[in-house]
Amino acid sequence: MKSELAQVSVQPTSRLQLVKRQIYKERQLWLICIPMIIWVFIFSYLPMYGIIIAFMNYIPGKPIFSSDWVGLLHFKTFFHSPDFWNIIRNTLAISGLGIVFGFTAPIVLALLLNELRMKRFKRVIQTISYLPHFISWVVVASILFALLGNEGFINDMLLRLGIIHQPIAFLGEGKYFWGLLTTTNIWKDVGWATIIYLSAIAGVDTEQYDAGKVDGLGRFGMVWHITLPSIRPTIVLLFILGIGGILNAGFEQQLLIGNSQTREYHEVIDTYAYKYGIQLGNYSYGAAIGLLKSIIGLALVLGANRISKKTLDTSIL
Amino acid sequence: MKKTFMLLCSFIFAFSTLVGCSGESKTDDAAKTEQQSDTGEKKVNEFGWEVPNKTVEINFYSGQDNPDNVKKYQAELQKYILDKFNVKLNNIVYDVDKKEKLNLMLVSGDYPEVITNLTESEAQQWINQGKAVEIGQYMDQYGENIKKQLEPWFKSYYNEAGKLYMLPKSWGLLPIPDNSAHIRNDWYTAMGSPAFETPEQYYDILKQMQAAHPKNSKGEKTYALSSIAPVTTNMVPTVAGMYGLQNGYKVTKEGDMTHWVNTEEGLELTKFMNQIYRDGLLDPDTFVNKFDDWKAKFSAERIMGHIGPWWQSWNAGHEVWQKVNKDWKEEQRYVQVKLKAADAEKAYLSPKNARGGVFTIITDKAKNPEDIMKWMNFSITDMGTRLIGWGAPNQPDSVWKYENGKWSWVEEAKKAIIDATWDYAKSDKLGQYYLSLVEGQGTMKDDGHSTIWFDQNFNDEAKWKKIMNDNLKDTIYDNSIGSITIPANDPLLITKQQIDDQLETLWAKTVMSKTEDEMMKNFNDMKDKLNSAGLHDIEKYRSDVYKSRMASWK
Amino acid sequence: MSSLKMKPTIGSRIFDTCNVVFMLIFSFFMLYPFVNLLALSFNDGVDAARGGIYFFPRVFSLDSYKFLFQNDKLYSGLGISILRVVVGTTTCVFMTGLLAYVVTIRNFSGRKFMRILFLITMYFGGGLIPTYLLMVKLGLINTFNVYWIPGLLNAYYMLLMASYMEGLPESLFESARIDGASELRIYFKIVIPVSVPVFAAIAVFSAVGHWNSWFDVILYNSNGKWDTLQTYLRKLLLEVEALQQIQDAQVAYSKYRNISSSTLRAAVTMVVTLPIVCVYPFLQKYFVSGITLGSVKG
Repeated sequence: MKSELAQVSVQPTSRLQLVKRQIYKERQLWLICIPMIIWVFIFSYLPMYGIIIAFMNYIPGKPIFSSDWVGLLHFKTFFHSPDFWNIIRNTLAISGLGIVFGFTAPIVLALLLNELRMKRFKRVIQTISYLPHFISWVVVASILFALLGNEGFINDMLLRLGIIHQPIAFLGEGKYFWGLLTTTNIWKDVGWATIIYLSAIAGVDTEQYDAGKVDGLGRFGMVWHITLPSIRPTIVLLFILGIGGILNAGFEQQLLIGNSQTREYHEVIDTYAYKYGIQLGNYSYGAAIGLLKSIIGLALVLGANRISKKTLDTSIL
Repeated sequence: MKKTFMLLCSFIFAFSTLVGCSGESKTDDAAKTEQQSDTGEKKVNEFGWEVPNKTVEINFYSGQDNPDNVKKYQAELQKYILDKFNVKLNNIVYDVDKKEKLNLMLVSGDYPEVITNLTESEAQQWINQGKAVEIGQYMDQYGENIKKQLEPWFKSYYNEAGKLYMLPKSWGLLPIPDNSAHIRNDWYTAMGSPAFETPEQYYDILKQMQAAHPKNSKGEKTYALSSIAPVTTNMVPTVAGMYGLQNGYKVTKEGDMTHWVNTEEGLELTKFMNQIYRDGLLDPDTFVNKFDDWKAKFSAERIMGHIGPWWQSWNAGHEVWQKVNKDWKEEQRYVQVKLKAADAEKAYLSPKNARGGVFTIITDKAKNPEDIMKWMNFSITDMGTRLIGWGAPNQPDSVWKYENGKWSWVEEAKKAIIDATWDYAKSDKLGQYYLSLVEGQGTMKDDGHSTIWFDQNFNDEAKWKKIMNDNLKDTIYDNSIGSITIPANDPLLITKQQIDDQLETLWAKTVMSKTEDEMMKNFNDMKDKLNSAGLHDIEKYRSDVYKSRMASWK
Repeated sequence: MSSLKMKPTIGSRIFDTCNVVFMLIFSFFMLYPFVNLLALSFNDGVDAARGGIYFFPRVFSLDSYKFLFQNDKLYSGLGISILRVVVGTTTCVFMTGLLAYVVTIRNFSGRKFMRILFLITMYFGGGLIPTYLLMVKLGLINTFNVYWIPGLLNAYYMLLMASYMEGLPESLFESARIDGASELRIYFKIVIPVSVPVFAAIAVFSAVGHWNSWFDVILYNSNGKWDTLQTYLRKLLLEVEALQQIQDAQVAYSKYRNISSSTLRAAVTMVVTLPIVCVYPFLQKYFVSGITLGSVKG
């Protein structure tokens, strides 16, 4: 009895001391962290009060807190909007395709680039591959029109070769849109996304390859048993973030490549929130949709991370 | 203790007298200078403007544009007005979307003393938040010309509480047509200029023309018609006008408005377009084209006709050809023609909003709203409008002269406009229209025919403009009552956006139907979908506003 | 180089050939828009409006470039862009790298806290208006500082860098710690040298991001004093957008007349893009060849 009491009274002080000791031991690290915490508080957390307008009817110019509270009204409006299911379908389809193809393409390209023997050739190709990233969507849209329009380059070729007799409306028919957008997205950013994998591959210890050679691994074996496992943390990280970004299906490209005839296939959450939120002056509506996206995104990331931790023993936290 | 208290008291006393004295002496000074200026001779310039002693500075925000260009373009006129009027006008623009910038201005409190180019609902937002100055109070003293020039609409700018906050820009019925059908002139005359009146007859001629020119010089296929997306905004209201509708709505005498989709005429015009499509003579990219895409086709001589604003076939037609083709002849161009369906009583092609498209407010940042009012009161006079619209007179590159109270054109400038050799980069440098706050539009009252648009003053002398004006004379109509916008934050705005979105998609599908039966089915589908999305609510809203305006504005 | 020692098998050779062929085709597609823009930029403006320019200019003209290089603000814009990239990238890469190092230290008690603190910022933000007001209150409006201070730390880069650093052997740092080296010293003397590939990659990301960003320029530095090169491109592109708001036919006519031609837009794209494209080949050498940890370890 007595000893138990002693234990109870001793423990808190010792725990506190433990924490104190821990912090003292890590004082260098905390000194580095404190300015960073202050920075992130000011630049990221302070403006977050803006989120509450999702529950109000905010009119710009009036002080935020004098606006009317409407509770979950904007969320309900969104769920009941006639376009709701269409938007969700398009968003998921476009980012689903993006995850399946857009996510794997840069990994494959990075591995293929890494297999090139001529270093100079490799460097040139690498530089060329990231050029499209610099072309703005406006320009991409006009190039696409010239190539894929009803009278564009491709239709012209196909007609001349006699493969088709009627031009194909690549840009004017909804059913082509998802594929078209996915291809364009990959084309634009595959080289760009490769950079991070190439840097990860460059970080693989050369000793490992030497060891692999001793074990008699072939070229494919080297990739499979050494390169890929070494860049796995990067792959997993980007995959988890990709899952969290599943509701970000693009914005500018939809507005510029899409047209009235593809609307049923191109309208995604972001374009909808822009059109019906900001453009109509309904900041609160836009904020509500944005908040919904954020919550789902964060939840998905944490969920995906938990699964990855259990199955792959890799966590981003 | 007592001592200290006394000391403190005397200290406060001494201090307050000091402050009081200095305050008084200040007002004395001010009074003196005022007196001086009163007794001093008032300078009146050649425009009859009483030049103030202290420069009046008016900074105004006017929306999205390139700031470097605007700074460059306004410089000359700005200097002229500063020298002659001692008024410094400064047009501020930003490269940011106007709506967004206005909201940032509202929240940050960082905005100039005047804002212009506001839509009515944007202006309303500023008024509602108490950030616009009530200008009705200055009207009696400083607004004589404003009142006079804005008749008969002056009362309509007051709100229900009898307060006045905003003044209009680009208002008044100008006798210049905007929209019409266009036809390739030289090919049409080569056909012997057959007469036509209805859209169907027009199409028939385009069809024959296309048969005569099935390919352009590069061997590309040609079409009768094309358009620029969104077609239901860019083209349909004009086509509907040919069938007797007003800006896309059928308006009864009682003021009931019906959207074209819900009318017989709407079906007719859809049939008309569908026929062209089924004949393979409608550009397949009609619903996809952006302006540049359309222009590329149009300037490559692949489109026989056009339906839209008059300047489009200029910009994409002969203005390109005359620069590219050395052998270009002036007949090689499009002319604007009137079309009217057989059953329509009148063709309503160019809706004019006599009341004003955009508005100007004075914000609470203005220290002396009276001074701004004085300037606007001058600016709206006929001479003020000339100055703002045409640029400074009597300068080396001016387009007009003003001497001894009389004005006249600079003949070379006039000739350049008539001969269509005018260099428009030049008019920008003159600052034409860059310093406009409120303007007298329509034709000017002193001579009954000059207009604020310098290049639109010689339409009867310029050959092709005259042809256009003669062809389209009776297609312009007053749509002031019918130009109705839904106010910001009204839930109906969302309905309208949803309908606009669907309309373009569904109508494109209807026009591109392969058979007449399919087209009928698609048309009825479209009608049902739009009506269930709330088109009737919008019709009702518009009808209500229309009727109440008919009562109150008459 | 080490693979050269092995005798390539036939399969390996076939693979190499296919790979090279694939890369050539691939780079054609990647290069095409640039070729197209280049052709456009050397074409006559009015002629280009007729479309149909793919690989070569139809009516050769240097007017677009002449017009561009006459503009003095282009040069000052270039200077500001370079300054922004240099200052913004160095500060961002070093600070974010430090953060990434801190959150990789395995037994640091604040590790998870810091990660979550930054992860949340990737998903939640206050929106345009509160952020704008914050910049006003901090006095960052119309200053150069608005270009680099708000971008000092980046959660996404932090995660990427941390995932690289986690692959490094812990023993590397432990031995230094035992020797009494401070954390900052470890960061500069050990972490950075062995993490050069990821630092180079993030430097490319950050540099390109700084070079390309334009919204913060026209939003926060609207007085034009700190205009970067990118804003010229944007202004031309936005010009077209702004036209759509014009309702009056007379105004529309004069505005559409004066709109910059597609050739000028192409020339600006070339001028604005080429300098930053050169950053990559320059940093590339830091991650083309593999790194040898042994040297650092020893």
